[in-house]
Amino acid sequence: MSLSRNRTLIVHNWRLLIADPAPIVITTLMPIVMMAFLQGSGRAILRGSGFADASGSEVSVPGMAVLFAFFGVAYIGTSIFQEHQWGTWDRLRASQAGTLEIVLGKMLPGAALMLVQLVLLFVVGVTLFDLHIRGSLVGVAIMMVVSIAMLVALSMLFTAVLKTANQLMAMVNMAAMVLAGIGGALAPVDALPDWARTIAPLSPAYWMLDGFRAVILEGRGVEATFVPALVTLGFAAAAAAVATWKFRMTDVKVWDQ
Amino acid sequence: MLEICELSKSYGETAVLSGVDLTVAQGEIVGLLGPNGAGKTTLVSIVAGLRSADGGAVTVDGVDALAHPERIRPNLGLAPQDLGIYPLLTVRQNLRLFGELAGLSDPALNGRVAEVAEALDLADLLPKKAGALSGGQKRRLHTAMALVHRPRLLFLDEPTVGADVQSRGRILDVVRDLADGGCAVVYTSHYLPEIEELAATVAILERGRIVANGPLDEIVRAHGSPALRLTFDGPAPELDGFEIRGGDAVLRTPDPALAAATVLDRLNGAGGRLRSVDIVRPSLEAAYLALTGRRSNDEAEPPLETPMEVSDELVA
Repeated sequence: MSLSRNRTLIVHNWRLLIADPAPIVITTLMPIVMMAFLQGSGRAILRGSGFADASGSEVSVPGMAVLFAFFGVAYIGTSIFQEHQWGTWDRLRASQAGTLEIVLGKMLPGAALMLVQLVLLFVVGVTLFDLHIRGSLVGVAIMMVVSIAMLVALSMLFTAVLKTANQLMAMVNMAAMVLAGIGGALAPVDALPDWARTIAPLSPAYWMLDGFRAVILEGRGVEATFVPALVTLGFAAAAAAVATWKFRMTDVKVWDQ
Repeated sequence: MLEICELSKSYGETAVLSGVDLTVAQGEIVGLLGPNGAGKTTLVSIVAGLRSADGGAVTVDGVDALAHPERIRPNLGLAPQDLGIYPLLTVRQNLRLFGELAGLSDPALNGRVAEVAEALDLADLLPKKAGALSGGQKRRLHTAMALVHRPRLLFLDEPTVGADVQSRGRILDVVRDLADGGCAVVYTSHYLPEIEELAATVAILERGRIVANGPLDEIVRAHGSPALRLTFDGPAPELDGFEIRGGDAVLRTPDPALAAATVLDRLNGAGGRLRSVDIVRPSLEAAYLALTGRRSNDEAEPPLETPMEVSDELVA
């Protein structure tokens, strides 16, 4: 491992990420629009659940932030598939950069971008949608970091096991809608049908949102995020383990069919 | 610089390389030739550490390249067969990336980028996005990216495919300069005149085996015999000693010029309207065809029986 090579690859991949900003702009603006749509229903659900002074953004902001963070899983996977499309993957492999340096160079800029988006959406929530974080800010930060760790691991898992960019996009969309939806991103878990409430804890999004809810809505301290953060990290570790097992630098990835 | 010994590789039941031996000295250009599927790209990929070998040994400057590919990479430059550039980045950013990964310091890297860009006629294009370049410019950039860190062993896998005449000339000039500077170059191509122009040592790979290896003139002398070729409008008439192929009649002879004088006399009564008389001199193309049974630039054609008919090294 070389620090200068790591820096080179991180800067290089960051350049590639922002060279085509359309997906980033869309996955940043769309959740803001959705927050506006869902704030009213969130308010009604929360007030019906005993949170009389809730604005609704306590569930709509973290919900949309987590849902669209799942879409961000595509950033890292796409960047690896593109290297294959451009014919540069083998060039990187034949360079002095090692496997870990190449993979970290892909993961860290994608993770940074997802984190920036997440923070930005919470800032927008506070400034535009009357979001009050009643509990620990450190707890919010912890949940953001572990959520990104989980999503980066998921992106590497998808990249390791999928062969085409079409498969990647289909899996990202499905993961976002199913995992985030069942985890309470579209509506609080309390408002989901019984069967969905039963299986919700199988989704990492449930634990991410559980941690955000504890500090944002329930006003609890940082300690309330420890269990959801650990469970989220457990999901991340499992995804990372499978990704490490299945990932091969020699695998052929196909951009278009 | 590079020593390959008994290298073998199979994909499933199919043997792609079967006991390949090859040596490339410092400052030497080796033209690695062979039909599609002969194993050229696999050979290059194994030496570059992109694929594993089933058996054999590869050493680069004394280092076991199969066991320690990471140790040979500082000395290695690779321009793969398929174009490999970042279309969203500028030409300068493309070039700098591989220099930075090789650990070149900023002043040295700036100088080297300028030098390589100048050599491959990319200097004016440095601020331009690589995706906006023409096909020939992209091919030159692709080659330049392999040179930025001054490799001591360079693999150019069909570097002039899709390149225009100007780009091809530039690339060949750079390859010659690199070899003059001590770089060992392995150059694969289907354009045999390029190998002749580079005066490269020739290694011909056929079905995973090296079937000929040596200096260009020796290969041509041993395998590329001269001939006289008569081309007719319409089918060629039957002529003693000639091989007839459509409108061509080909006579293999050590002295085609002498044969031409006597043959032209005999033609008066033979019928057919003579269009041209060509003396096919010994060439790499002829040798390649004799060794592989195929033309170098037309892999789709079935094997031919004689090298003479297709030689494009003609002296009227």
